[in-house]
Amino acid sequence: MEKILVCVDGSKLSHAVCDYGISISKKLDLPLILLNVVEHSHTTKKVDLSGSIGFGSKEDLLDELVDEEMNESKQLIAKGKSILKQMKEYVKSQGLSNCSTLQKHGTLYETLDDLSKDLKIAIIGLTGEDSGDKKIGSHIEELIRTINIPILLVNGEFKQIDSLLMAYDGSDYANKAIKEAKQSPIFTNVKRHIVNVNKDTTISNKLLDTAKALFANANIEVETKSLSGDNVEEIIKYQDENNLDVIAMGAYSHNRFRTVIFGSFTTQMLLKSKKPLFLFR
Amino acid sequence: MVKSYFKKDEWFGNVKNDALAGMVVALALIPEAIAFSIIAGVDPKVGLYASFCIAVVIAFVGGRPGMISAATGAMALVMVTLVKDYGLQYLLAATLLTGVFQIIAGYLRLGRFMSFVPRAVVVGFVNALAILIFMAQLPELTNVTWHVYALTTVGLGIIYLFPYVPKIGSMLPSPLVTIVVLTIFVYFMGIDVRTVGDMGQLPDTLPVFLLPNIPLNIETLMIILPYSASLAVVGLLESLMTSTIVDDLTDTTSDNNKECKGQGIANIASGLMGGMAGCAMIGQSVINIKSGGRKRLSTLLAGIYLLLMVVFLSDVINIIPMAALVAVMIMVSIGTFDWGSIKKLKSLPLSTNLVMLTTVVVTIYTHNLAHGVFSGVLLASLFFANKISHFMYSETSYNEDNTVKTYKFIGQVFFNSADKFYKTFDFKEVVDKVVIDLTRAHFWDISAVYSLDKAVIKLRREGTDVEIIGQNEASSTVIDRFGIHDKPEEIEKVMGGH
Repeated sequence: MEKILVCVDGSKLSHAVCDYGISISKKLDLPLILLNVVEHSHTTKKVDLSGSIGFGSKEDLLDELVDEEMNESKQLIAKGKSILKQMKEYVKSQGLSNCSTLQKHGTLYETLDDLSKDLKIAIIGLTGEDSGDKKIGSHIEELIRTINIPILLVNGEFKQIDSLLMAYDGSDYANKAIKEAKQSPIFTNVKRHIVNVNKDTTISNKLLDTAKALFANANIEVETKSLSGDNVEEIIKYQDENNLDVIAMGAYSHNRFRTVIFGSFTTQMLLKSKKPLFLFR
Repeated sequence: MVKSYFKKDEWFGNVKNDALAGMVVALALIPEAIAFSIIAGVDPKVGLYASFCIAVVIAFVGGRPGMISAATGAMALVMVTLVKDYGLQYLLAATLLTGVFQIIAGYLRLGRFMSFVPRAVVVGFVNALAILIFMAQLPELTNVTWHVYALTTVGLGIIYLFPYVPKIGSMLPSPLVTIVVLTIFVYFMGIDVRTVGDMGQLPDTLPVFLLPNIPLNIETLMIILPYSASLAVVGLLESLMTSTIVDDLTDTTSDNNKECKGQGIANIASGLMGGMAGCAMIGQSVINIKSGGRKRLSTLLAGIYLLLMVVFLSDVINIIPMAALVAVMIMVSIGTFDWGSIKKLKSLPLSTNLVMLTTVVVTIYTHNLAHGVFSGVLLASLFFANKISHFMYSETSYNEDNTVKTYKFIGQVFFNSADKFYKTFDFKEVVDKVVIDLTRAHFWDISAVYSLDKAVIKLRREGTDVEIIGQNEASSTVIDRFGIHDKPEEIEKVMGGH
């Protein structure tokens, strides 16, 4: 049984994340899981720079660290539990009863990796509770580079998803994604706007026709548009003009090296998009 | 893949604490590197260059973030005779070869064999190491004036009491305070005691790349090979044991095979920069964790601080009295020793204690931790085999007219219980048929199979029919591969010897 996973950590996006989860869960009639990850920092706040070790230092140090982490963990668990409880009540109040909660130790990445085979989609806030002013939460980059399930990254208030923008480049990868979307769509009854950014409009239009053809007989409304200019800018502009609700795209290439040198299209989109991003593999 | 070599969190997850901990560790590394150079019989600069290279390189290629590696006592003890008989250049060559062996060990995934090292051996190893570090200080404490004893005692006093001073006690590393106080005292009072400068050359430049100046032939190889093999084993043992200690302290895991390769790469780097072979250090790693260090950055900074201090403060380091270093090393020895294990001697089984003590005694006798660990593992394995051999017994039963006897064996049959297995049979008893029921027995090796064959042959000779039933799958594979009792021509061969 496939499930919809919603990750909540008490940050201000948690409610919006939950709303998207509720909406998708209702549409697909799949159970919703609220996940809270108890992430251990494995660092210490107490700093003892005395630099001396004596009788039983190892044992004392171990005891100290265990105590400190135990308190930290207990607090995190209690906090997570209260968030989960609050969110579950909220989900019930929205009329969705098929909802369970889950609390796990570890990192978000590990947890999602373990759960991934049962998941239809994971919904995560783009910024976490501890990310402060940073635009992208600390876990997100690692996560989308490695996880193999579709992820919806929420970066603002909830809005009903009625339209979806998809960037298409004609790669096997993109074709596979469309086929996947056709067979078991996560967004049903949603109009697809497929765009391709290319100076040469003939090539661009040809690609878009292929994409359109792929969606044939799928009972999905499709509109295509050829754009020219900077990839990221143009896509965001088009999305803005047409007031589209979600941007769908293939996620990071697995190669970190390339990303470091050339910068990543995905990162750029993450930084600039005002709407949720739907990432798939 | 590229990404596995650079994880942001492994480097920058704890920057402030790592920067401070790196400093504390670097300060503690200086006396250690000097002391271990003296043990090995080389100039202090050899140990200092080694500590710098190893700390910096392992920060990038090690499998255990937050663990400190540098020149160590365990390694220094192994190289003593090599340095004495052949000199520094051969040590550098041996260091390179050690690195090669360790990288090979990493690729062969030998890290997994650490599971053969029982807890008692690990404790024995740690205690032996502490004792060796302490014993290595004794030459500095024999045939000296009373000044040295006084200075060492004061040094130890400062090390252990200074942390109790409010506020600054937990901000300034007490070993540093000891060194500074004793150095100033000795310098201005003009007391005539040995100083670091008397022990050999300190580094005055950054380390430079150089190939060992040795003849490249088989003879050289034969000289360095046994040392390199020992160094490789000792280095990996101490590194992997230290990594489990760091794992426990920080509640995280490490990559043993990556650590093996990393130690190898670090040793090669050290050998090429004029440093001796090293490995992970238990005492320093505990100090690093205690000071708040957790990530790779702490290790890297420790190396860099170390080099900067040594190169730019070499005049100051020259006048540090040896007594101050001895005090610091005694602290390291006390901190490394597993004091809890002494308390536990009473409550643990005798076999466990014997394994631990054997590891300690053999190590101290041979000055080679690898020998100690091998002895410990061997003894532990024998104890284990002995314990398991108790898990075998038999039940006998007869049919109504006492013509058929059934032996039902339960448990483990292997080299150590095979004799017991054979002796279970009553060969004097006259029965028509013997049934050997092995449904609940497990045959582990050819000793077990051999004793079954022997019993079957003996029974047959006495005119008894033998039937073997219920061999479980594992037993039957062993029996099928080695057994001879159902192959008459093979039986003749065995009987020929009787």
